[in-house]
Amino acid sequence: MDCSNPAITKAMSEGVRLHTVPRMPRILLAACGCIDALKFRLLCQEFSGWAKISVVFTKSSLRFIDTESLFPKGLNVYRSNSANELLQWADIMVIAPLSAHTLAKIVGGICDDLLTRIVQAWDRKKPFYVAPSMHLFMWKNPFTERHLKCIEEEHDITIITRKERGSMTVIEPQEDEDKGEECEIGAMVEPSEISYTVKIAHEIILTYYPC
Amino acid sequence: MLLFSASFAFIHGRHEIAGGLCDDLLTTIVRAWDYRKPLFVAPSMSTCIWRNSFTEEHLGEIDGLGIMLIPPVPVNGDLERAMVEPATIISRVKASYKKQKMEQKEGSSSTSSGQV
Repeated sequence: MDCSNPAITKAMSEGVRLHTVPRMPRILLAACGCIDALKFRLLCQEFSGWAKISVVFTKSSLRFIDTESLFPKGLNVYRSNSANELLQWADIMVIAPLSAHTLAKIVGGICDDLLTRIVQAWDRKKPFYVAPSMHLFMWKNPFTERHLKCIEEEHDITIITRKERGSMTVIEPQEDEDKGEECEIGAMVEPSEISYTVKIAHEIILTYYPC
Repeated sequence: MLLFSASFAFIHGRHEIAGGLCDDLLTTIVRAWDYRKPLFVAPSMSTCIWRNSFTEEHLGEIDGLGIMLIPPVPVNGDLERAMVEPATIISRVKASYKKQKMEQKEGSSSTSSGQV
C-alpha cells in the first residue's frame, strides 16, 4: 500500500466514519468547463468499477461532455436543484477537472449553480477531493497559490497532489513536456490515478476506522 | 516588453479580477497574466460605488498584484466617476513603456561596462 501518497497519509491520520453498514461507497463526481472534461467519461468508468456514482456538471462543462451518449444506463445525472438530496446521499465528493474559475468561486463563497451550492453546504467530515486543470500560465499565477492555500486552511478540502502542501494534498496538473514550452498545459492527472488515490484512501479509512 | 490595457465599464469586471474569477476571454487573460509585465486598469463607476469599502478592498487586491490603476475622474458634479480620456490612458502607457525601456538600457549598459 502506497503510504507515501499524502492523500493516503491524511486518510490514516484523520479517519472518517462514512456509513454504518458496509456497502459500496457513494461518490459524487463533478466536472467543470475545461478541456480535461473530455476525460470525464473515463473517470466515470474508473470509479463505477468500485463505487456507486452520481454526476454533477457546471453549465460550461457541457460543451465538452455529451450527457446522453456518454454514460452507462442507471447513472444519475444532476443539473437542477437537488443539492440537499445529493448532500445526504454522497459519502465522498470528487471534482475533476476543477477549473480556475470554479476554484475562485469556491474561495469567494459564490454559489450560483448546483455544484457550488453543494460545495458550500458540504459536510466537512466527509472526504472531498479536487483535481485542478488549467493552463500552465494560470497554474503559475499568484491567484492559484492563494486560492489553494485558502482551500487548505478554510475549506478542509483534500486537493489531491503528488506534491505535499502542508496538511492538504493536491493532484497537481502535469506539465506536458512533449509539446514544447509554448504549448505547455497544466493537464489534469490521469483518471486512473485519481480513482486509485480516492479508493486507497477510502480503504484505509475503513481498515483503520471500521464501522 | 508587452503591455496590456483594459478599461472596465462596470464594477463587476474589477470584482472578477480581484477575486480571480475567469468566465470570459478578458478575465481569463488577466487570470493567466504574468505580472512582471505591466497591466493597466481604467475603471468607471458611480461615486457611491467608488467610495464603497468593497471597492477599496478590491483596489488593494489589484495593487498587491502589481496592476497599475488609472483612477477615474469625477463628472456630473461628482455623481459619477468616469474613465479618463483615451489620450490620457495612451500617454500613461507610453510613459511607462519608455521608462521601462530606459531602465532596460541602463541595466544592459551597466552589465556590459562591468564585464570590461
